[in-house]
Amino acid sequence: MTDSLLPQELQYNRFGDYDSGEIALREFEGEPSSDRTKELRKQFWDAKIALDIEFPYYYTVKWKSKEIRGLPRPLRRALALRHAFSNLTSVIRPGELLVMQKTRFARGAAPQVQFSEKNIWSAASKEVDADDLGASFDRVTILGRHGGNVPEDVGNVISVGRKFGIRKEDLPVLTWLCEYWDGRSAEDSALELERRVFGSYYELDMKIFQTVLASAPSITTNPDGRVTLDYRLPLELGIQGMMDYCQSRIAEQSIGKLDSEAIEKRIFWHAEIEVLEGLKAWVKNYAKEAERLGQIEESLEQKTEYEEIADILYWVSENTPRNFREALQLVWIWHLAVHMELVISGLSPGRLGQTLYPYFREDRDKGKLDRDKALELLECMRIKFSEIEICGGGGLHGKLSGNAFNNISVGGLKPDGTSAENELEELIIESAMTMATPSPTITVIYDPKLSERFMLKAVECVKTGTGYPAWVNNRVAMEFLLSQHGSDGMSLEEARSWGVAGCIEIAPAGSAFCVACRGFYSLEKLVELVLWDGVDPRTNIRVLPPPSRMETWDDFWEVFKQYLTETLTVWNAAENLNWVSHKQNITGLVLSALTRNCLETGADLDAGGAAYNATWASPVVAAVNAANSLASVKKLVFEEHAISMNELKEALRANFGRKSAIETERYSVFEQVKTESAWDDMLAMCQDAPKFGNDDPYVDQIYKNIVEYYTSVVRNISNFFGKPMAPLMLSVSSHGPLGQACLATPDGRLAGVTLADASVSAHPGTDLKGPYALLNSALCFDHSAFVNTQLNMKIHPRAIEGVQGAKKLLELIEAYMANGGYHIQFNIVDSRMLKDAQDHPEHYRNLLVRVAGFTEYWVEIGKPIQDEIIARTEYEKAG
Amino acid sequence: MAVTTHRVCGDCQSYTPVDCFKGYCHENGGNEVVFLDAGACDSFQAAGKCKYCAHYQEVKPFMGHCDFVGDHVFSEKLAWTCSGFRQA
Amino acid sequence: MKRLASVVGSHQDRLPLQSEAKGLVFDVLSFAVHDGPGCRTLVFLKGCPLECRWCSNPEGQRPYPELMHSNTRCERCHKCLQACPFCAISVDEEGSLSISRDICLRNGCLQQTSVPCVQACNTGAMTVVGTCMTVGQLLDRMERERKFWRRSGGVTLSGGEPMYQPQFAVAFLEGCHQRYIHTAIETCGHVAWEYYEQALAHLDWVFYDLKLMDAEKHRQYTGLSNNLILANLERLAEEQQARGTPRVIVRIPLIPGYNDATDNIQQIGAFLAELGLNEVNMLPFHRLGASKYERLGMVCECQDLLPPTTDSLKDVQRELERHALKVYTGSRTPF
Repeated sequence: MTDSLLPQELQYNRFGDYDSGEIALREFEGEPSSDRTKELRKQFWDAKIALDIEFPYYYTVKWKSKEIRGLPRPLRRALALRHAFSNLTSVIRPGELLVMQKTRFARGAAPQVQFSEKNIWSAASKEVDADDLGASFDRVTILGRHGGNVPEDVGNVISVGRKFGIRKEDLPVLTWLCEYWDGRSAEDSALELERRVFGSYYELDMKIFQTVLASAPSITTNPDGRVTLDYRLPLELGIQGMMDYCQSRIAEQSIGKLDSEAIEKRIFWHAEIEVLEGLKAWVKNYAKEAERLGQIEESLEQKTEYEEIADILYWVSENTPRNFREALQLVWIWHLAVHMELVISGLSPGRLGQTLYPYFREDRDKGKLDRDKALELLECMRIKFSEIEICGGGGLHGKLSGNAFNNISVGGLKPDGTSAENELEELIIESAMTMATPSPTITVIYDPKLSERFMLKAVECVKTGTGYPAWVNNRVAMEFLLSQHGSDGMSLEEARSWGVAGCIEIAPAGSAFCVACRGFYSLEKLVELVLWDGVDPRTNIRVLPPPSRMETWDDFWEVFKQYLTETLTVWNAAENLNWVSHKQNITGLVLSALTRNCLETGADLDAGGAAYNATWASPVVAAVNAANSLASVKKLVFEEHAISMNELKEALRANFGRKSAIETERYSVFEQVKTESAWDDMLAMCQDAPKFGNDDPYVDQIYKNIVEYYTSVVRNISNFFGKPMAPLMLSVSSHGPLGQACLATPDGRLAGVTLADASVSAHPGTDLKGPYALLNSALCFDHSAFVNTQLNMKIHPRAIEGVQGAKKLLELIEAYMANGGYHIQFNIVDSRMLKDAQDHPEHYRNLLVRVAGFTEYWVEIGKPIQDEIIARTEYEKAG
Repeated sequence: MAVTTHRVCGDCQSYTPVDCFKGYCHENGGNEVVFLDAGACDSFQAAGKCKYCAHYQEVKPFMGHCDFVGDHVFSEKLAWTCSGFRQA
Repeated sequence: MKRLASVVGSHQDRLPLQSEAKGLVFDVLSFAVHDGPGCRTLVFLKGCPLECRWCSNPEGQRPYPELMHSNTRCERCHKCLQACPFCAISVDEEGSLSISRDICLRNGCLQQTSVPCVQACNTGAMTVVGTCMTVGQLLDRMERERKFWRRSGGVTLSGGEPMYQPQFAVAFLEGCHQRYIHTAIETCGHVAWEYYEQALAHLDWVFYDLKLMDAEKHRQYTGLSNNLILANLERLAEEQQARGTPRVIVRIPLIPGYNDATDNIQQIGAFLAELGLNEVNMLPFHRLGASKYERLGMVCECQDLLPPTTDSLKDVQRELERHALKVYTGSRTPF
């Protein structure tokens, strides 16, 4: 290990004992660089996740108040936001360098009832509201029970959604809030509107959720996401400067020319000023608290730190930052503020290492910031990011597994085309190794111009087994961006400046209208609908009319396409309808200030103020499972006639003579319990049929057909601004609940078993021809047509040992990218460790794994996802 | 009328929350971890919460009305930014 | 019983490329990172002249396809028993399967594309190891692997003993070089020199196993003496000196109690130094192959043997280094 790039303080696990019986540890394990950050991390691990009603309470009190309740959007919202921000309790914990948090609690979220109250109410009261669309998804969701989760009521603390704790004294407040927003929330108004103006499509839409063909609509969970921020204005103007800017734009307006458009702009600028006032007050309140703490604190060292914090906060509450620490603090404030005004996942700082580099460089050159201090600050930042929690019903948490998907991109190119790597980005990577927390996740934008040294450092981070950085392909991304936004004027420089948003989505840098997406659509469930002539076999709900003929493979494929078109179109169109309520009630005003060109144009995001307004359709999940299932049907039923359609359906209904995974609580392909043998032969046939991930053109072609057809369908659907939707494929962790909602399927998958994750990962245990065959399958279509594609690989730590092992992993990544792959990420772990951690979670509090686009603590992940990760094929050195 | 309750650490001025179970006590300028529901010590000083304020009137458990703001409040609400707080 | 002359092939003169030449392959492993430069694909040929007691690829020893049966996957449905046309499968008192493998061999059952007992098995417990392929088919497979090798990777031929099928191996290596594919081989050394001579024309790297210097001990532990092995290594070293190629790395599997005694190591060190070969890759014994023995119905003599300790590895390394050798332990290689 002597030729490592890492500094001495990182610990290495030794491979001295070559006993194969021992669980292989990851090659590197970092430790926080200072006592302070060690202590902060310990605090974080000890904290239980909590729900805080302060923000929605103040927001609601103002929103319903007599003076403002008649005001138009977005002014009414702005005033409510200002009131909320201004009245929050400030909490600073000892030892913190970066301060301010979403709630009073270290790991806390607010129940954002103004967005949707039903699933929060279901979660809190533990009764299911009949109108709660998330309920069907909730019912199939199984969550992790350890770590920071509060899965059950304990003492004076009530469990909400099996994850959050809320004090029993706060519960009546939550009830009051839910009662107020019942019928008024964005969710309620969206669905009521849909019911009234969508016609018969409304019923189809509802059936899609009831059958779990798709997960609950985002307007009921989290509508916003997958976006990167532009910190230019806060950093270059400061909060006061931004207010002054808005005032100057208002002052420019000619009173004689106030038409409706000009009025809307005027209202918008006023709204922004209100929000900015709220932010200013919020920061100043924190500054006061820091002052107060400084006065009562006995320890001189801590006292001085509080005083420094107070000074910094007072300054940045109005002005532009004077140094790196203040810039980081200001960025954090804004990032947090977006999280507080919206229910948003995938809010990403983007190319933070580029944004903050000028401050960093200046401080370093002037000797005002040493490397250790910078590292310490970045470690503090990691704790802060990981504290962010998002509250929605249980369905949301099954999808997100507790992660907020805040993604920092490193590498890539500068606008002028040279490599963008720099010392700050290296430190960002290093802090990810020393302070291994789930958030922020890191992505390397791979470009051949990056230096080998930089990339190998990123590989060493991969070897810590945290699952980051993921690797994405700059060339593929730029192709996508110019294709998606070129007609809206995106330049080459802008394309080069892009950043990863959310899990791994390709997003213009801080200049795009964003949506999370409507939800997650299960292609495996679609296969079930085709098999059962339009009826969902689990709920017996008829979703679509029966097909007119189903005699040949071509018929089957036609029905698949037809069902896909109908459901996907309606479902995505409904997103636009729902967005009317978003625009009316819950526009992102802080977010608009951080998106080019809203402030300049005088329009918020929902009014089209962003430079780029094209977005994407809802992602499809389980394309791999669907391809495998269709391959089975095509081969066994229609080509070889080895089984008839009816025999197949009978076997599926009987779960091939096995107990359901939901009953046995075993969600992986292995460990299934047999009850009878009558279907053994059929199961074997289905399991032996061609599977994606083995470089088999039979099934790979079917996969290609599916995803290309999906693309053609969504390209024909308009988004909120009339742009064609782009295709998106990812699962987050929805492949758990979506799998639980499926019976046994023709690919030989059993009922309730978790589906394949991501988009081109093989179904666990079915990629039998090695990693190159898997990659070849993944490359069977054009990745640059998609907002993202996603591939997870599990590799045993010994397979990539040493510097040579690192170089070879890099070669693998480069080869995949050179051949057109967009994304790849790794779990470097011995499966036996995961199994042990499942049995003994108390020993593995710090174990991180990569799920699908995000990293999470093993103990906080639900068993269905845990089982799926364990089952994934692990590539290790030959015996 | 203010609601009188059993004195716990979580109601004390010196308390800073960490989560729903515990927090820090700044009594004597220190930073000790204490449980929210733990019985308070002799240094207890009521935090500025609506339930301790003279303007507060309970309407139902944990919820009430405030004479000063003239609106709905809740008993655990911190009068952090309220200029009208007056110890009952 | 073990060696069938027809599969081994006879001594022949240099062969032109035969894309139709057939060989018995038992595995193809992608992303092999310690078996030559760059990212490589390992191809394992079935059949070996030796029977090392510590062999970690027992499925590579015999030059014909074999059945592997996994007790953990077996459901004891006995469908394989019923499907076998030659009554080669029976059940013992505990209900475990017992396979009379000589019956399978005698009847050539496993050479067919569809094997009845394997077909009948629904859990994948019964499988055949060893697939017949032509050189052309294998090269096509390599072309699919190739896009992930980048510029420094290639193919490493292993096994068993790859040169136990000399026609196939040489034809394949020649085919690789014709396609500009970098080649390496992992060989035990017990091969007629003329086959090595033919192969050398198309080899870039050679990993050459050297276990024991004492001929009697070598016979005792591997089934054959080491005379040919040592003689071949000498000639290989000469080749390398004369032509500057191939790169030769000596592989020493370190098996506690069998070949780790100081005198053996000393002798190896001296021998290699004398030949002018200076790179050694020491492979500590491991038991990752243990379950394969069970599945083959074989007994592993070394199943309770523990891997070498860190200290013993250091001792061996020091001893070898005394002879001015560069020692790479396990996967800590400079390539």
